[in-house]
Amino acid sequence: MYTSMLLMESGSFTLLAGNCWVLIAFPLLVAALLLLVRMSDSWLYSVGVGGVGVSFGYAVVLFIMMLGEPEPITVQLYTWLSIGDAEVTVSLLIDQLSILFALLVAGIGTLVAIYSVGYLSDEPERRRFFGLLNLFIAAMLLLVLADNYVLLFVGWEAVGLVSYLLIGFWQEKEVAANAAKKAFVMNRVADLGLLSAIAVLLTQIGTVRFTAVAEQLGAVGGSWAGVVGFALLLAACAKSAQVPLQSWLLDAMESPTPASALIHSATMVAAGGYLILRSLPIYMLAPTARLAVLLIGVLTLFGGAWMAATGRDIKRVLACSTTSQLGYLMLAAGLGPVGAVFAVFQLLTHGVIKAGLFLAVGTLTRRVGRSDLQGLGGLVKVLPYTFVAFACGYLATIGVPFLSGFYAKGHIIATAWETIPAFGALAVVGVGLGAFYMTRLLLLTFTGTARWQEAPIGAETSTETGAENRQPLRGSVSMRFSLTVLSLLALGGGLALNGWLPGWLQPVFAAEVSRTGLLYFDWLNYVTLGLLFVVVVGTVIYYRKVTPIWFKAASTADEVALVRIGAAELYADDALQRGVVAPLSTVSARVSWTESEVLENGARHLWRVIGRTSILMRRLQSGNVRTYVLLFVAGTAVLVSAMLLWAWV
Amino acid sequence: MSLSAYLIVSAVLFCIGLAGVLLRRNALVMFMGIELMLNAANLALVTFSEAHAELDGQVAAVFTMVVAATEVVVGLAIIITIFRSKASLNVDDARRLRH
Amino acid sequence: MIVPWLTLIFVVPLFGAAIVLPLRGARNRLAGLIISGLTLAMALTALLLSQSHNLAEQVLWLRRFGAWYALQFDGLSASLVIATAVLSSAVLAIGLELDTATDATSAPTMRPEVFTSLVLLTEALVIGAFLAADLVLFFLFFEVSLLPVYLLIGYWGGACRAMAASRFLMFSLASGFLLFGGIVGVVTTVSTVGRSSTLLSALANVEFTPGMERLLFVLFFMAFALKGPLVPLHSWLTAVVKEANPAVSALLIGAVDALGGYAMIRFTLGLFPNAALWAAPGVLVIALISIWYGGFAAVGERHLVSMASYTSISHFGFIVFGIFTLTPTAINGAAMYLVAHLLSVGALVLVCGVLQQSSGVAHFGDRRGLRQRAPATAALFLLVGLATLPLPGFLGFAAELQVLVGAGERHPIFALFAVIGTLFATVYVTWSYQRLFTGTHKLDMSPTDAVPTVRDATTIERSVIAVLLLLLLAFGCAPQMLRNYIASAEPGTTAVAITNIAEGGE
Repeated sequence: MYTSMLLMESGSFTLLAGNCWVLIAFPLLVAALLLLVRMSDSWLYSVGVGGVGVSFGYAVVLFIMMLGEPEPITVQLYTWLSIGDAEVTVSLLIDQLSILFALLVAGIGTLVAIYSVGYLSDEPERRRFFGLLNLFIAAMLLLVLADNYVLLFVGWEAVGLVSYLLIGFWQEKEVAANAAKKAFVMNRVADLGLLSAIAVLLTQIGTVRFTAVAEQLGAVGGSWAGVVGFALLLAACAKSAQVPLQSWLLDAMESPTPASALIHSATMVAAGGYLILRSLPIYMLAPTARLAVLLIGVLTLFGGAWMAATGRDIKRVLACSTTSQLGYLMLAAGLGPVGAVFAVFQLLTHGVIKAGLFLAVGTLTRRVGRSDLQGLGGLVKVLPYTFVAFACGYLATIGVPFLSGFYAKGHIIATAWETIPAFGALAVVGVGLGAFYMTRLLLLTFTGTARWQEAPIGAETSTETGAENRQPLRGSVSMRFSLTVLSLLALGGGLALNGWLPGWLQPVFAAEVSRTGLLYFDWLNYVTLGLLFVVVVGTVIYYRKVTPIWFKAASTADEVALVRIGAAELYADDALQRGVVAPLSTVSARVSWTESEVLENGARHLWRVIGRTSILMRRLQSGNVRTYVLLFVAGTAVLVSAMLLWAWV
Repeated sequence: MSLSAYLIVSAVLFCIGLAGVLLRRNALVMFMGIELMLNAANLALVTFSEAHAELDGQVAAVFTMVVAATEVVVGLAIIITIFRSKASLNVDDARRLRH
Repeated sequence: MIVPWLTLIFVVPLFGAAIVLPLRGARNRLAGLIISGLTLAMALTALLLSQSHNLAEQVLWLRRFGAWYALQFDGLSASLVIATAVLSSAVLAIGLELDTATDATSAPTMRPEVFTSLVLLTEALVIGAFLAADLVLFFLFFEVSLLPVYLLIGYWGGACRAMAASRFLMFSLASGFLLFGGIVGVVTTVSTVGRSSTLLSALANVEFTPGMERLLFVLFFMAFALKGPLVPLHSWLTAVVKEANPAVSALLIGAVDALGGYAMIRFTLGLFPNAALWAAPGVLVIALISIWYGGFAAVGERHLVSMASYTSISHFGFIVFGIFTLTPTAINGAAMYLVAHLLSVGALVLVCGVLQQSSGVAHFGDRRGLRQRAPATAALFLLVGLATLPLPGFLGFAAELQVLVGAGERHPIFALFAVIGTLFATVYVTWSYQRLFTGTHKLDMSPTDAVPTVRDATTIERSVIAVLLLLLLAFGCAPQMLRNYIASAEPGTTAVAITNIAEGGE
């Protein structure tokens, strides 16, 4: 199936695909350049955007060529390491799935880079930002283009690292540094899962190539497949911020908004889903693990929605929403090959929509200077363009007919219903919840009174915008450009993908997908749409009448328990703190105490004991000759008797 | 004559010498005790040499006599020097070399 | 004329130590660097030559015991020799500047010229130990290398350096004593067998009685565990790094401690494979304890260089773990990890030393927000910290993966625990970085401290640490060469013999 052969008709494709490592190397080089060499602004912007742009262009060319039906290609660069009998190589795989992801990553990356030209025009460290952006693109492309688990792991850790560097971008902010550390540590601990899975694969089947694993894992036995499945799920949960490992993503909002748009909404968090999708053969062999994926997906779907519905900061609400949408992804991936196709659909559309939403929010927060919902409101008149962009994303994500979200979610709901009806029903409810929190967000941000003009306090509680010396920013051409492109894609993307995606992904997932019509509506769709309508209208009416309690900064005791738990982000942080961090700190303190008190003092005590013994022994040197003689005689007597006894025995 | 007689004499001489060294305080008398012990060992060596009809024991005895003579020379020199500084032959008085 | 390359590799720094003694100041430093560079060049030449010729040397030395003057240059020795030469050059380049000796101490001081000389001497002796192919010769180098290190610790460093040096000497002499006991045992056993020889190649074929073999194994193992060090024999290291000059600590942790790991592979495994099999479960548990204890202690530690030393203890535990899983993959991985540890923890200690010198920070909490004044130091600290995690892309990861896979074949549960133990590194690296470099720049120490201003790392300091990082990165991206080279080491002294026994004995 996947071979690297020279086809006569696609000679140029082979040539281009054979050099696909340029996709990764070019932004990497640009990143090194930006991070190590000083340059003027004009160069900076061209180089910064160009680095990503070149990758995107290359990916587009490859994609267009692949549309002409050439075979997927594996490009083997060199042998990285032989471990036992297995050989791990640095090789890249260009197939239907990876090229889609490459397009997503590079495309959104380019748009975000263009946006950042305007957004960060007043940021003194913008050179570092563009360098990190390019580094991220290189790492993420390595992740999606890798042909085996080890190389994927390298990319996986690398994106975690860049995420850490970007979350803590403003290093003077203690909050940001903390958030960065939490994100990195949580991700790395969960990466134990991926590492263990790799180890198991290497010991049990002796290969880590995706294709080979698919073929050979069946021979080994189901229980190992289950172990690998669960281990991979652990890693994916952290990376995609599934419940209960979601708290790092919410704190990650300290990073500059363009970074959030790229990393924490569209691409890196999708890596978890990508891993599960690539490992689909493993999950087909391990029903328990697949069930776990489904359950985690549903749990996150609702958990994320819960948090989003009670969120107090616009960026955090979007982050919770990301978590929830990725729950959809997991749900779909756990449904099998058909679900996997639609998981990709969801991934692509969600990436575009969320990026657009984040960029809109970025314009908004910089204009106003704060991001807490309490301090926003009435922005329709101030930022009409942004409102339109946001509204496009909003409509797309809640599932208005013919827009992206409608197709993505509709297919997932239908597939879920066919596989396990309960999950289908839950998915429908999820749509309703999604509509609620997104409408709430829209209303609180853009409609109502302009609270941001009344109360200047509360800016410290905002994410990211609290960085010092940042003046309000008017929108610029670059920012608008990216926003426009993303909004249009959000609107029309679903239409474009719907008919074509299942067929395109056929070789990858071998899924039989039936419904592909654009105007295809069945009863599930009607039910969903009905629910949607009811929820939206109801929310609008509700927020017209009622002002949220927490606007008045009253004590939290007044709130309903549901709201309190959601607002506290399901107490995940506290649970982690109490359950994991505190015990480990205690042990660590104990160990340090042992070190300083027990061992140090023990060693000193030993020293002193030796000294005192030595002083005692000195008493033997009495200077008295006759004592010495006595000792001689006694010693000799002992020796002689010992010898005699020895000889006798 | 039987071996044991000579050995008993040798043992008795050795014990007398040992007692002298342990119990007397006069340096010269201790020296005499040491000489007694050496000669007791000599006697035992010659006895065994005769018993095995080999010369090894007598050779060892000659060695011992040479060593004894050397040791007496050096030892007496030391005792005389100490006597000159302390005017006493009591061994307990020469205790400067202590901790 | 046959040039004895291997002898030259360690003789050059040996004589160099004497040569640089009369030189003063900058000339002394330059001469030291040149000699160290020359050593490195010779090692690399030997590497090239060894592909085509056999460079091993053998001359009968002590006939009575069958001791030979024998040197070898196989994959294991060569990689460690070259890494030691690199680290020594790094230490010489920036060592003296890292001296934080404060005045008003009762501890003695020494002229700076002697520092270069002693470092070169240490380098010569450690390289000699790596090259030795004879047990008695190895012991000679092993013991004598204590002396210059003792002097280095005792004369350059903090207020209590004399105590630290004495403790180092006490523990190291104990280690030597145990090793000596083992060697005596080996020599007596061998001489009863027939033609006695303490050549490693000869000893590998000697059959010991099980009881004797186990006793000797324990003696050898404890000697090297003291050197490594393994918990609970590690208190000498913590005392030393708190007091000594950070460059000396770097050399100590990197090169001298690598001797412990190297010797474990060559001697305890090579000479006593059956006993190794018998002792493996216990040793694995000790190694796991080391990994976890080192990790916990590093998290709770407030002194900067001490934290790095706990990293070293944790790493050494991991190396011993890899060795005693007794699979070729894991042992190869452990050897690679040894090289990675030498470079990465050496670099970490050097960076901490640079930080200490340039900003007066000895403990976490002394100062914060240093990135604003010292961005290069911050970047280097982070990168070196990431290299010790180990982050994929650096050599440590390739090694760790090998150990994990090798261990997973035979002891999967232990392997899981070992890997979880390495997760602490993530916590203390990021937390250290945060405590030192992020936030706004504040001076929390008392105003009477001796270093009021903060300077960034100098070009030399940056280059030195960057070189170490680049080596780790290069070998991390292309570890296959190193792995093959190490795997080509003499079969009698690495894992192949063990696996045969292990598989035969299952």
